[in-house]
Amino acid sequence: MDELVLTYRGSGGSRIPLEAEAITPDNLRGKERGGIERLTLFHGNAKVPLGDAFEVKGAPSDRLRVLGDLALVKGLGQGMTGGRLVIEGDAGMHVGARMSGGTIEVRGGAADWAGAEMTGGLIWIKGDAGNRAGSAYRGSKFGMRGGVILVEGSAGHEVGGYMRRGLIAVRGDVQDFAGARMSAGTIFVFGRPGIRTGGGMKRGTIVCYQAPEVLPTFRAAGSFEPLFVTIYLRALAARGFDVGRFEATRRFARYRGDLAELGKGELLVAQPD
Amino acid sequence: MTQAPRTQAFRIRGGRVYDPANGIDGSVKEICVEDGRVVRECRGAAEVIDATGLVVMPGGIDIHTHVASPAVNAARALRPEDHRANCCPRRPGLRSGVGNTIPSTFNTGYLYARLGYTTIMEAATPPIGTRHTHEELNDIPIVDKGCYLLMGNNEFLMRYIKAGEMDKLKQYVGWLVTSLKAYGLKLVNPGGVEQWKHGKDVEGLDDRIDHFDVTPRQIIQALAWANEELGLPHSIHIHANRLGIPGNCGVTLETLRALEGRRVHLAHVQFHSYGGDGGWSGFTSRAKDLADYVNAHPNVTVDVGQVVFGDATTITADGPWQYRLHKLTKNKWYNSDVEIETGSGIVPYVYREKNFVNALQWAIGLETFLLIDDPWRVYLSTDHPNAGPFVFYPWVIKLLMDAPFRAEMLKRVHPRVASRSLLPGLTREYTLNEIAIVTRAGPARALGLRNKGHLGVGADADVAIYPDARDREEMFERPVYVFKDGRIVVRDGEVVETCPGRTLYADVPADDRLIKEIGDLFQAYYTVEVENFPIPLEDLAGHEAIPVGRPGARAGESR
Amino acid sequence: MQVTKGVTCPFCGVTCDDLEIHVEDGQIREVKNACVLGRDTFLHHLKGLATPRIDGKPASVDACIDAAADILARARYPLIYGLDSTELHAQRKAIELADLIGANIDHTSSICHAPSLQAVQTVGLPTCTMGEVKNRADLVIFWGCNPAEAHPRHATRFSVTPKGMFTPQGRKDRTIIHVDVRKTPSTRMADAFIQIKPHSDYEIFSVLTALVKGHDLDLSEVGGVPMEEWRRLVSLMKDADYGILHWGMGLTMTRGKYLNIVAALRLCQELHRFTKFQGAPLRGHGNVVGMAQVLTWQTGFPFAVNLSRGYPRFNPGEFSVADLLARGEVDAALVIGADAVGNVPKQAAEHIKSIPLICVDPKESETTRVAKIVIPAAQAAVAAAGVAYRMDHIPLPMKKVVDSPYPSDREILDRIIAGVSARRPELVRRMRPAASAGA
Repeated sequence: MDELVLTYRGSGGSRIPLEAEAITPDNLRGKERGGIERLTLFHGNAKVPLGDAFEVKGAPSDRLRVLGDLALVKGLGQGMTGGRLVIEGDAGMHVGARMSGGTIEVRGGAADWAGAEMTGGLIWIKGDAGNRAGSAYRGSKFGMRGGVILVEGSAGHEVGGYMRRGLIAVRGDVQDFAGARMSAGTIFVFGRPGIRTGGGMKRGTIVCYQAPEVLPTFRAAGSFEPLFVTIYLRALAARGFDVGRFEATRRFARYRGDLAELGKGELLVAQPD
Repeated sequence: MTQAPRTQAFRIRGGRVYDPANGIDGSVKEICVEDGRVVRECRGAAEVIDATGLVVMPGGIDIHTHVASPAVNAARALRPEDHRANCCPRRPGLRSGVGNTIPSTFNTGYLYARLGYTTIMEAATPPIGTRHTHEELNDIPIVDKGCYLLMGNNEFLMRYIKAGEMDKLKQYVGWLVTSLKAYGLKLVNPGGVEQWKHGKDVEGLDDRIDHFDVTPRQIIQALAWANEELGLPHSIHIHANRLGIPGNCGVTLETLRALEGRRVHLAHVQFHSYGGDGGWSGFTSRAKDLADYVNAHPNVTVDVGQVVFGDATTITADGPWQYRLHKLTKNKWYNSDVEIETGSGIVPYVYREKNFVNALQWAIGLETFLLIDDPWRVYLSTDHPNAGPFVFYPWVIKLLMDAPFRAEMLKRVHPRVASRSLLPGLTREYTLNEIAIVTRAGPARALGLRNKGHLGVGADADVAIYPDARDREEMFERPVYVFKDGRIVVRDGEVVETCPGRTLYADVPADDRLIKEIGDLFQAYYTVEVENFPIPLEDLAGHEAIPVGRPGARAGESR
Repeated sequence: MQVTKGVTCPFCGVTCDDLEIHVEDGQIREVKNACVLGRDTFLHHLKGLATPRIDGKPASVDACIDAAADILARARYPLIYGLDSTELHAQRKAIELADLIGANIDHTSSICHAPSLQAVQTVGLPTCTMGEVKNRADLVIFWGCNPAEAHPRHATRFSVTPKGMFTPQGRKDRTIIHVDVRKTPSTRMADAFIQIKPHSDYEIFSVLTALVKGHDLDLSEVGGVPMEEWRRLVSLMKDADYGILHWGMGLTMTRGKYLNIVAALRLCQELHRFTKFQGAPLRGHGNVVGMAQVLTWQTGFPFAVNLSRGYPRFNPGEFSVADLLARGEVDAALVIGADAVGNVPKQAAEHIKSIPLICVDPKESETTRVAKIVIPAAQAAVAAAGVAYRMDHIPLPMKKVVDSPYPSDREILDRIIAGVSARRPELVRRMRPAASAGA
């Protein structure tokens, strides 16, 4: 299958981040190599032609692969609407932020704000995600409004904060305030949750497979066997997100909260037999 | 006044001139400018501007906008998400900034200039924060500007009213205007913002305000009297009680009746023209009642506060109303009570076409424009950014001039509006002459700005030249030339030169007879030194004193 | 002896403007009405003055400015930082410079009350000016702050003892509560002290808010304090005529950061079902509020602003000083009126020492000691006039009471801008207005 391959030439020792929002499948699709090389990236207050920072190979396509040490490269896949982007290694901040369609696969870790305010599409992070994955930028009423974020490693603070719709699944641990002030949407945490999970929740669902410290403003509301969890797990497994071993756990304790806010959110805590 | 440097001379030839103040309604006429003024003919060599096929008007005047004040800046700080929507890069000689509903200061000046506006009035500044307002205004380039002092909830004022000490009241108000280099007096929900400091509001003009035991009616009448006694160029400027509340038209009309005979400007009157019984389901338009009153009372001027669909930020001193809006929308909410003087409230808002209330608000604004007969007494505003950003003035102009376009919009909005509004039957279309009045000549007259809003000899050379496009929105959004003080600042819709603009202030003679008493009051109740309150003239980047002293001047009076 | 009244103090966010300064032979001899922090600021105006130098060797101010312009004209990702101890016009110039060269610009808020500013961006803020506290507040809660030491005259001018319009008996008309993890000198001012477990503020505010909203909570304690005591506090808050919650580093620096303050502000907002209840951070660092104000009106954002792309962007964590430096991204820095090296975290300080560093300051500091270029400035509010902002956003004039041999911050920055513009004319080349042909 046709694929465009961009290989990062390296930062030459500079620690100034490279801002590369031009690198999205839809932006590169249909362009000849020369056109791609002339796209503008930003390095501090300087403009850098993409060709100076990346070697461009392959055929024009909306399948894009980016190689190299990209930890200082920001904005890969930001705002993309379709196509496929594979990042072979770590990605810098804002990977897939505000995207509305397509697929991003990060074969390393992602820095802060991965998938922030996205409205559709899929981001799959093989390593760890930073802080505020799928969350909002300062002041925005909502964070993620749609789409899916899958993290095989761990994630930082405020995963899925201010969420409006969509699905986030983290196979590892998360830090403080997962689902902070969320309005709706679903977050799965398979590893250890941090403190203040669901702080300020209005609505939405957070499913924890390891017991969180439940905030005092969440009220215990019995336990049950939610069918939707099974459906979601099977869907995740079908995509290749390996959470099969959790399927056996059917029963969840339910906590309604955050009573300091609207309080119609739910925290589901797995009750292994 | 600080002088503009000696400028080039220009002869603007061949354009169709709309200068309603001088009775010119589209005739082809040459306009000469030199040394910052309109002149009969140029003495020196003049550059010719070929305005053939173009429309020439005086620069626009915004009589009511919120662009610079502690509350406006609090709104900017509150809403980083608003700014992300619209970033404006720097260019050589021009500063970068942000746009959308609460533009940064440099961008505010550029955006106004790019619409052909050359004078703007910051509609609300608290006395204790007016130093801030002036510093912000200093950073709004190109346009001339002034500010109205918030007075309608001033506690010292209320004490003087209660004690019947009207002379002292006048001296106090005069001292504030002089010290703070203000242009005029603003009342926002008179009495209501003071009641908000007890968690309450007022319901009518005769409610007694806690502790001070005066009524909104007394505050309004006292300030109207003081305004005329001081001979301020503009009338008092009132944001009436009960803004935004269904059924409020009664209070609005009563406010106007309280001032029968005195000139008065009623702000963003759309928000005050509601029928209904207090709840939203019965929400109706009473724009006709208001228009009928305005038509029958030549002492009244209004600006509309036209709703523009899309993002807005509500910024007002009307604290209790903003709390209501916060509860209604559940949006984030900023409030600041200001010692002795007033308050402020900020809530983000979005006006939606398919929301019945918003769509009817939109229709009410248009009804107001179309039902008031005398364009000299109704002015274009969106109460920026409360009903929408000022950058959409061209869209409003198109709605006024193009009845089919208006009808199309009516089809797009919530379907119930057509049956609840008179708009479907209002086929009137504003002419270019009338647009020139409601955006330039009319506000200039109401503001008492004798050298603005017209292109007669001696006027400030603030000139906007528009293409005569059939699409009136396109026309007014992209002037071919804009002159400020006789220099070209905008060309083909882009800023090409910048200048500081002048801060206009009412030239009330200094009167320090009350200073000892004011000083004692400051010591007792304020937390700043009275000597640090006044703002020296040199703190204004540019300035011009506007003469006072035409007591009894009425709107509509010919020059 | 020259006596100047109504002088504004630059030291902390109380920004007292009633100081009386006595000057003789160019030296300040006496300071009246100030607290000890303000008094020392003025009396010691000649102590520890910085001297102009490049690479540690004495140089003229002109040469230093020239060298600074050289560095900044060529930097690709520079940082302009500090500005809390300067005044409005200098702050303006710093922003102008940042806009010109496409720099990051940040100030002390970023490492201090940034969480408060971020909390306001999230939920808003019910607040008031300090005169309302003086005139109306009958319940004052100090939470995680120590005004007795950090803002000595706050209590006497605003929040504890003054007699105001609705508080004619002063102290007797107020109830003062201190909530903190340990007693401090501020506890002495209070009627009651509630000692809470560290890092429990978020849970406590959440619980209080839920109680205000009428929820029954099946808890025995939160934050190490029995529910009975919290219920009493909630009653007190609901019954107040005009309450206010002041907070400080106890909330901004503890785990949770801005979300701690979000929770506190939501409590104040929910209390509006019953009464007026305000929140106000106790801002320190001189004119830090002023820098936030002018940065906001000129760029739209209050701190951590980046102008590299030619327009303002804001993102704490990405463009905030501590993060920019800790990640080693910045390639040159201009520090004005702040001790960056002394105040930022260690890793950040290490980086700033490793890049070309220009420091503009009236006094020697840890930053001037390691800077490549040191430019002494006339101290704002002492030897240079201007405008500063109080913690409640009230602007006040700053007077010049003594002379200085050195230029003001404003002038220095103006000259750096001129130097940069001369070296980078393409940044300032103006378009000429196009007009039609003929004359």
